[in-house]
Amino acid sequence: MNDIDQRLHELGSTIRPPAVPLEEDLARGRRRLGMQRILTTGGAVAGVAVIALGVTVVANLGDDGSSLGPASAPTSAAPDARSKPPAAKDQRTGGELLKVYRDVIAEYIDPANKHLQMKPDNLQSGGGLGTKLGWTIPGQDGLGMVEVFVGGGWNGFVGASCGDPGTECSQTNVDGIDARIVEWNGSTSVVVEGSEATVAITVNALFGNNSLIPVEGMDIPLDDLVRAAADERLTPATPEQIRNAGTSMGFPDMDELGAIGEGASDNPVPTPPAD
Amino acid sequence: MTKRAQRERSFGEYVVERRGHLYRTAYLLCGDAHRAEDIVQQALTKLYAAWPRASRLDSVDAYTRRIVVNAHIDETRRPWRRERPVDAVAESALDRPVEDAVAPEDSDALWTALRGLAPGQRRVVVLRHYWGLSVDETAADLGISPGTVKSQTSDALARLRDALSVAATPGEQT
Repeated sequence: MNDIDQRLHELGSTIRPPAVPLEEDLARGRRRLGMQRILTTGGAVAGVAVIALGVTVVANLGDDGSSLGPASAPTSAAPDARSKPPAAKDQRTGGELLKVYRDVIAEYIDPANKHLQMKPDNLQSGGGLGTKLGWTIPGQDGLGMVEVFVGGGWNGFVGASCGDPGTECSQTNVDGIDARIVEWNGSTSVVVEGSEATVAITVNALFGNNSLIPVEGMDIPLDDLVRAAADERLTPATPEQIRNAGTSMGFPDMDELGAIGEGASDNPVPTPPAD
Repeated sequence: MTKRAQRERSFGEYVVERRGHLYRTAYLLCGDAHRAEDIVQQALTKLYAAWPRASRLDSVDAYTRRIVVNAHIDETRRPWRRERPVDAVAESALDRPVEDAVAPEDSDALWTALRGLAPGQRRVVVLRHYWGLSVDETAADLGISPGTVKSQTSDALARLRDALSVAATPGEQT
């Protein structure tokens, strides 16, 4: 045990946990479990309803796809699924995809590769896949951050909602691209919702997790962020890519380590084994 | 004994044994008694729901620790709670522990230095030096590469040792 270990343990021993009755922890757990069961049941019922509706629509289509009866109320899922050719399977690993994300946005905001971290070394997941990249300026000690995230709805990964105190949201249009701008807590996020995915690029002069010193003069034009976010090469990750992103980047295999848990959106966590 | 009674008995035994350690971990991460208790409550609530499966794992502690750390990561993302790194000397800007929860370490140089670290570095320090995890285990818990764990550990320890040496020789402060 080194000096810091020892001091930390001494420090920890001075912290006096509150006396919380076990029954309170049990009661909170029961409530959560009850809510989970309600949601699971509700989701299953909704899923059955959607499938039933789809089956009804398909069953009422004629050979030419025309509707035969009143049950063919318009739905989006069934006709789209019939008309779209199946997408080719993306063979890239999650790590390779993140490198593509990095290189694509670099073309817009750092074409000379002078500032943006070259190789992604962390994962952001939860509804999609992304990474936070460092931004340095030669001659400065500070570290800024550029995060790119490609996924579904934007609220889950920008880190702020438009209704939050201190958060300012606005809309912009660049070269015909509609984008949402979210300014929150020193960060500026640009969100472009495409047909395949929603892309968010967040910029902050301070990479808060990794540095105490912001960079000075991180002047990335907002228009370039919008154009980058709209680039069609920023395709959403497949479930397999999300699963293999960590190991393909050289992270330890959490299954092997047995270090599993639940929670944060940027921490790829396997679920416990099934019952 | 019913399934629910079995669950509550074994879960209860775990909570009685480990709640204190989880709370101390959360406190070291966030530096605030109320937020530490929030984090522990969240963790135990999730653990209860996952207990039938989690209790069969090799290490329930590893599972719970991960929930605690993840809850702290989520907390630091929320704009109204997001931590802003500060100079170690700007103590007035730091979250203060509630009175009576912790007193002695309030003036402890290590405590001040720990609060001066970026949240990510603090997590690495707590996992490696309070929980005693290896580089790989820490990387797996945090979802970052072992190289990042090493560099963050190295930088964080240098900062902590700097702060401690300055505190030990106050006359040398400028």
